[in-house]
This record gives sequence, C-alpha cells and structure tokens, in this order.
Amino acid sequence: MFEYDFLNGKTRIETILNDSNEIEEKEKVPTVEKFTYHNGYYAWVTAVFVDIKESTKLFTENRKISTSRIIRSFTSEIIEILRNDDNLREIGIRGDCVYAIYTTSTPEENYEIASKIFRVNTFLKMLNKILENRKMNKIVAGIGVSTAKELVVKAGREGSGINNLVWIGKAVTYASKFSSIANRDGYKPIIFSENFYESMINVMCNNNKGKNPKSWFSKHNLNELGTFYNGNVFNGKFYDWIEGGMKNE
Amino acid sequence: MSNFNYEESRKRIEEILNSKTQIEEVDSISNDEDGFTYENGVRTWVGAMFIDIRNSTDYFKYNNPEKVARIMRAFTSEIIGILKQNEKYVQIGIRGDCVYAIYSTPKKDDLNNILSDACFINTFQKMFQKILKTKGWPTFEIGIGLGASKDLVIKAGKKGTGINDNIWIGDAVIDASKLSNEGNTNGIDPIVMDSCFYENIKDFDANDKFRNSHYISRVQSKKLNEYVYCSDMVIKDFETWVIERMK
Repeated sequence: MFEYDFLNGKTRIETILNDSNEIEEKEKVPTVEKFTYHNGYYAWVTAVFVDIKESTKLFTENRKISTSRIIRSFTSEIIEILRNDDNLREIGIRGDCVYAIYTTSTPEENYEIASKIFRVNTFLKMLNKILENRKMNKIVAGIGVSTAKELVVKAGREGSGINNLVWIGKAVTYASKFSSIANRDGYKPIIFSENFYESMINVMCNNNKGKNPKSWFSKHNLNELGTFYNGNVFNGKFYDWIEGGMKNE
Repeated sequence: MSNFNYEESRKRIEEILNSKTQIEEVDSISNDEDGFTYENGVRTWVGAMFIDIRNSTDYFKYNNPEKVARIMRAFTSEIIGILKQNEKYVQIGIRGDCVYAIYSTPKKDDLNNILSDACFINTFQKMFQKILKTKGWPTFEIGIGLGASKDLVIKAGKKGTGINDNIWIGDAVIDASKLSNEGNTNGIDPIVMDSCFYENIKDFDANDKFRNSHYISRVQSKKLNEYVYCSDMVIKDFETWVIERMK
C-alpha cells in the first residue's frame, strides 16, 4: 500500500489555490495547445450530448458480442458526423454518451451545429432500420444541446500527461441533462436550450423558405432546466433515402 | 457543410455488423495505450472507480468561476496523483467534472487496493474541505463509486481522429459511474460499491481488529434498483492529522 504524503499534498493544493489564473475573454476558445495550468478563457460554447437510453439494459441483457458491434457502429458514426468542424474543441465518450463541445460565436455557426444534430437524428433512424432488419435490439437515444458562456481551463496533474479541459458553466451540464430527458416521458429526441434555439432559428428559417421550421419545435419549461425547445427534425435528403429503402444511387 | 456520406456510413455499419467479433479471454491488460492492439475486444476482470462532485451544476453556477477554476485544478491534480500510484490502472481521466480510473484486476487483492485508494480519496476530501473552509471558500461533497465485473474491452472512436478510446462495456464502469452519483446523497455514505466489488473485498482485513465488512453497510440503490454497499472508511493516521494537526 502506498503512503500519500499529505503534508506535501496540502502545500501543493495551497499553491494552486493561491496561484492567480490569467483569464482572458475571447470570441473563440483557443485550441488545446494554448492552455497552460495557469491560464483560462471565457467564451461562448455549444455542447452536444447524445445519450443511449436504458443503456444498462442494452449493455447487460443483450448478448455481449452483438452489443459491442452496436456500440462500435453507434459511436464511430456519430463521432464522424460531429467531428468535421473547425469550431470543435473536444469530442469523446462519457459513460453512455457521445459528446462534443464547439466554440460558437455566430447564429450561422450554431445553425451549422443544428444541422449536424438533425443528421445524427436521421442517422439513428437509419441505424435502427438496419438493426430491425437484422432482428437486433433497437437503440433509443436522446440528444441535448446547450449554449452558454463558459470558463475553460486545463486541469489534471502537471507532468503526468493526464489532463483535460474543464468546462465551467452551464453549457456542458445542461446539454447532458437535456440528453437524459430527451426521447423519454413524452419528449421527442432533440432538446435545444432556449438561447441555442433563438440563436439558430432565423438562419434555419432562411434556409427553409416556404416551410415553417418554428412549427417543428415545441416550447417547454422545467424548474431545474429553464426554457427549452423540443423536436424530432431530420435531414430531408438523408431521410428520403432511408424511406426509399436505402438503395445505393 | 459537413461531408457526411450516408451511403458510406451504411456500408461501414453493415461491415461492422457482419465482421466476426472474436473475443479473447485475457488475465490482465497493459496500461500502455500503444500496447493495446486487440482488434476485436478482450474479456477480462475490470475494476472501476469514479469520483463525482455533488451538485456541481449549482457549484459552478453560483460561485466565482475563477475561484472554481483554481479549486477544480487543485482537486483533480491531487486525485489523479492518488489514482496514479496504483500500478494496476489502465486508464485515468477527467470527464467534465468527474475523475475516473479503470483497472485491470485479475486478483481479489487488486480490488482491495482500489478500496484502499478510495479510502485515501475519502480522507483527502476531508482535508480539502478544511483547506477551503480556512480560506472562506465554498466547499463541496463527493461520491466515490466502485464497480467490478468481467467486462468486454473494445477500441471505439474513429481511426485517424486522435479519438480512439478504449471502451469498457459492462457492469464495472457503468456501475461505478452511476454509484458515484449516489455517494453522499440521502444518507448513503460517500464510498458506494456494487455487489460484485463488495463480495470480493469483504473478507480482507481493514485493520488489525476488523474485516472490511465491519465498516460497510447494505443499502438500496435507486439508480441500479438493487442492493449496494456503502462506507465512510478513512485512512486513520491521515484523518487524525486532518483533525488534530491541521489547524
């Protein structure tokens, strides 16, 4: 058994607590190389969480082999959809979720993320169709998106190679909570925070002339999560292709 | 616009579903990421520990972010320092505000060492809270979740993206993650373990008087919907120092 040197631990902690961080306000969160253990950045970010529902059941009740295949196809394709973006700052797997965090400063950038979300939602439809054809269990997923101004710092242990950015603010925690209630209790699969919805909706309307995107979302309010918008929106072309039998063109 | 090609995506999925996943049984796996070459996954005994901050949303929301940043840095740095001492770890990381470690645990003894690390972290938190209080800074509670199972390990993510995590599928990691949410809530002690973890460590000596089981009680877990085991075990000389000498 190892001995934790608590005297030194206390000294290390007090050094970090007394160390003044240089916090800079930026339009964009810089890339990870710019972070040290002594600086931090304030910027608007948008976080996306895709949560597999009842995943404990999925993980333990199915035969493990087919589960591993489902999870593999699930995570790698969703990462594929979410990753192609210069504004991406973090992407990964957390418990039962795939998550991505973007630095966003304009309505156009937020609409770009919304488009990815619709594509993820359509992808899940395709995945379930494929699973259904093979008589495998379906996946139910919830998608949560939230925008907020966050303080981003690097945490971890100096010299250990183990570190990550820590996102201090509402975006990540709310996106995670939205994803866990989405596609459950009567909610449709996609939940957008109020400010994310308001940021992207006009761009969405301009891109869908003759349609009424506002009618695709319903407005809700919960004490602990505030106001949010809920919908089940797909990428039209991708959707039609699935409905048409997923034929190679 | 993103160049996601759904026809290609469908092909990839069908390929994955058609590929014959051969699962290899192994005793233990290396913590060298490059050494992990199992293309199709391995099944092995796994232990997991998650350390989660209670009410972190509110803690982040209502306190000065710059102060929270320093607190998170100090907290994660020391927790990782403790976790890293255990040479059986295969992955340590931070996910949001949660610090976790996953271990290869071929022997019961390995799980008992993880429990001992959890006791260190539980005692550490008492010290950490005392330091914060002395400065007049806001404190927080933690929950420590422990899980054990024979689990499947696969490589997931996307080749060439730099995101190529090993994914641990099974009870140990999911249980530890869920139980870390329950520690220090509704009268449940900070350290919470699933039944597999408990069964393997209960008969080890906690000190020269009692076995581990003496310090552990059984409670009903809402999240797992089954009985789990919780404890507030500490490292005695560390705790004595925190109480008596740290003034």
